Amino acid sequence: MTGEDALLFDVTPHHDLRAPARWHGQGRWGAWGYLLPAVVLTTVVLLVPLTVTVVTSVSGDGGLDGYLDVMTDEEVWLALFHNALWLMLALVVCALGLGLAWLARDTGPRTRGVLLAVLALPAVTSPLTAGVAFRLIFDANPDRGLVSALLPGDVIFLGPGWIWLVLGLAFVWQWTGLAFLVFHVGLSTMPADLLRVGRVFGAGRLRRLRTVVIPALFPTAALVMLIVLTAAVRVFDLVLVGVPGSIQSAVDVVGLFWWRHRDDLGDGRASALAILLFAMAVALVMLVLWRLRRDWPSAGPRREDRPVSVQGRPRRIVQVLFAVVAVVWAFPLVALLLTSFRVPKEAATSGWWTGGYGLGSYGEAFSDGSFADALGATAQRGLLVAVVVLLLAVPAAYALTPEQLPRRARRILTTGAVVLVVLPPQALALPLGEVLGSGAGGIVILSLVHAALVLPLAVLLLRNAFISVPRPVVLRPLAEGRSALFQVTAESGPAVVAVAVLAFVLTWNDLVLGLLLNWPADQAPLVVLQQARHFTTSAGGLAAQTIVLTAVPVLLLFATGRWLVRGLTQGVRQ
Amino acid sequence: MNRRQALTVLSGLAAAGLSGCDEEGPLRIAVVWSGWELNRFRDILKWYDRPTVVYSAGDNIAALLKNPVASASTPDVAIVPRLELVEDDDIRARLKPLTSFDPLPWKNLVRQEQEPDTSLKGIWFKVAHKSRVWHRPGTAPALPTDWAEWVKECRIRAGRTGPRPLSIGAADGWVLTDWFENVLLGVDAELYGRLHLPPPDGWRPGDGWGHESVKETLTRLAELWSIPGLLPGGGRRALITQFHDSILDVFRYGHADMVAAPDFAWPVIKGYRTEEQEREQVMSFRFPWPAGGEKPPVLVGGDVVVALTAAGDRGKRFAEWLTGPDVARNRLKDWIEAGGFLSLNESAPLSHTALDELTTELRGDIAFDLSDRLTGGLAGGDGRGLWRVLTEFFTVVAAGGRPPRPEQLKRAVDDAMGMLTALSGTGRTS
Repeated sequence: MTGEDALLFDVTPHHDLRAPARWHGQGRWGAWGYLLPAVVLTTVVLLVPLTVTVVTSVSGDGGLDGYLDVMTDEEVWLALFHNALWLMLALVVCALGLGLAWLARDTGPRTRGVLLAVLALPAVTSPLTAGVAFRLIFDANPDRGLVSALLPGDVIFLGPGWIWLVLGLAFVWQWTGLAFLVFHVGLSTMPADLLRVGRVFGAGRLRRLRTVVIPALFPTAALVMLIVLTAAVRVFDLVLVGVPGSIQSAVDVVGLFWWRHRDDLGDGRASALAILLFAMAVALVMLVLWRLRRDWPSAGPRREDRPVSVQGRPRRIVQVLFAVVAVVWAFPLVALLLTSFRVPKEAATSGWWTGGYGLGSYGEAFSDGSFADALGATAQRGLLVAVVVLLLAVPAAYALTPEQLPRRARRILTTGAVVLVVLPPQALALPLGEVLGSGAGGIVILSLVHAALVLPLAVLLLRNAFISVPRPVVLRPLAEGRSALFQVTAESGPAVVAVAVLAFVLTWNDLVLGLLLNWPADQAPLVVLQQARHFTTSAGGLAAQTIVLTAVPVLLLFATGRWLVRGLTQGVRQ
Repeated sequence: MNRRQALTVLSGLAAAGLSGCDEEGPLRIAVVWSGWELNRFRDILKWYDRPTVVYSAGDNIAALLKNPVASASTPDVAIVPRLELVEDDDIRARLKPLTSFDPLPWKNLVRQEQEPDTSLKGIWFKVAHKSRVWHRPGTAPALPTDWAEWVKECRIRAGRTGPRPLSIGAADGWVLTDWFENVLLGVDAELYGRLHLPPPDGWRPGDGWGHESVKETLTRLAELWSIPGLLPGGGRRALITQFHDSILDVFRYGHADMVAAPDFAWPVIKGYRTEEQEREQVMSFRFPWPAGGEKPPVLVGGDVVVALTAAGDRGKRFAEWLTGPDVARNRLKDWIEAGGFLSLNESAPLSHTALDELTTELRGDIAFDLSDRLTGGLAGGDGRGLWRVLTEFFTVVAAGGRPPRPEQLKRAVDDAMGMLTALSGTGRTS
């Protein structure tokens, strides 16, 4: 999993006749010290509950019968199968993002900017928002749903079967942008001569992509896949809000099934089911990363960034394609925005193209004060989580850079982090719920749970960035026997910002954890979910609430956009 | 290092700011309403003399009352629509006895057998009448006198052009359970009264969910629901039509003539009509029952106020204020006028004339919504229990590609019976 650098003997000065400088600033123990806070939090909040869940699943009423019961249950199989579909879809999303990025290499900076903005927006919106937007667009009533209005016929998009199309599109819409962004940056910093060699040897486009591009993109690709696969494992709110109640059981995923049937399953079987989901996700992630790694040559010496220079204008067809992509991608949020600016009664009974504009829906969204309160509480929690994650992830990521810990320890820890990234919260909910229920629950505690869930991903992101920091910056303090943490962090500013934003946005958008831990009081996403119970008649207020809910991460995205792109992709330049 | 110190200070401040809530904060009230209803409730709360916080817990309200949960989300008071929660022994143990002035049949609903009046654990705040069929004037020239007549009438209209005879919001499981319950009450009210109380050693074969009357009920539903052309857009559309949409189908779009719906359809009917439609009269008739049979009890639902012992007397005080005469006389007016609120309180103002008959019927022979009293495998919710059985049943008989043949209907009934008997054997018994 880990990228070892081939540059360890880069800078040892030859005329230095003293004893070799001690690399490890404060020795191995120092590095372990850096790791300690993150390890403690992860152990307390993730590993211990996970262990309890595992123990419960095998020591329940009938030992391993829990697994047997679950494995022989048709509905569980169906839910597991649906999860497998989602995971496959995640891979499709990554491929799609890569394809788009490959095509976009030739476009000018302006087109690129627009594309990046439009495609990246959905990645910071909550799945809840995606569900609301797509359910509005695909409403079966031609008076209200645009697709039904344009395609009159007997197809009922939210009905059995077709609902998969709607859900799949929503997921693709949400995550393709992230993959596109990261691959795009990766491609533009590709070593140009590699490609040239490929061309000279007459490799076709696809072949070049497979043998040169993808391997060179590995560290980034791994991270993107990890994020998208995690989203696929944790699919929950998208289905909950985007699918009419009668169809829910037909598209159940394990996470939802678990939440719905926790009481009738009993602790043993519920635990077994959560562990099964976790195991499936881990297996897939390992498989994907191992495949990628096999094709990954050891990095050559680092080059200056040299964008692949492509002469000439892009072909007309590509330009047209991107215009279409941009319009299609912008459409769901635009439809949502337009719906939010309509009078509630109009929004409930007609489509947004028929007029009836006004601010009434915003009035309705904030009418009872609870939404405003929830927004405040959620923002506070998001900030706290961002701070905690940074405080713990920065030193931990530094400890995982070369010359800190022994190689084997690094590898084990990194693998552990990768595994924990895809951990579904259902695998922790029962033990955590008991602890929190016994009176230990407070806002800070909940924030710590959030922070622990974000932490592994944050560490991996930061580590990628830290490794790619130019060597001289690191070597000087190290040679002087000091820690290079400060220099590395300063050098990786964008990645630090990206992690903070990521932690905030994930917490801000999270619905699952609060629901699983029975924490309904003050979560903005939960207020939105309640509002969605009578979907069509609350369309206006719902659209207004989801727009407000989306505005915060979007503003963050625009404020820190440049940093985010660099931060997410800093590890590419190896 | 100074940067790290700064961050530490920052996080310390944040933590201090967030954990600053004390125990004697405002009274926490958990409800399941959302949107319009929640706002009406908040209007009433403005008159309470202490600070309150309301949050809509939706389907999670059961978990909030059943499991120990974090102190931040433990309610002091809850207003629950599912009687099952008040009947649950574990939850009852955590509820405070309250003083109730509800009429007798209602009082008995929140009383365990042999319990004295002093240990009532809930007071009815808002009740619902669920045995009505609403229609636009002129769309039901001859009021159906009984079930068979109604089916015949629907069949005749389904063969014509124009609006469809019925709209059913089959996307919401509770709409289908209301149908089932209304029909079952007409078929066998005695069995209905026992179904939520499984015997300790389980139902004997042929009794409970395996009873002939349940089969008869499903057969009747299949007979009506399978009529080709019954529903606007067909059964598949009905499957993703929610309760509110089904009301709009009749009273806003005119796609259908009739809709079986509770009294809280009224504010939806009123809220979404065009100006022209507002001059039309809205009418409703009692849900039909079999010819020659006894007039069945009215199917009712309701929201019951409970106070948790953890809140001490604060919760009790609030529950008794909310259901007391002062609120009924002075604060419920708007909600009652808008519709969707029926009160048992003698002091409450009269509702809209369209609902007069309903208010009277609520004080007579009633049967509480069965799906809100079921436990274990049959308990309701999206994708589970009775909701799900009926959704799948509806899908087979009404939402197939072509009209089902008689033997297919029979098989659908048998399948549903099989699922019901299987589910009634799972989960805990209350």
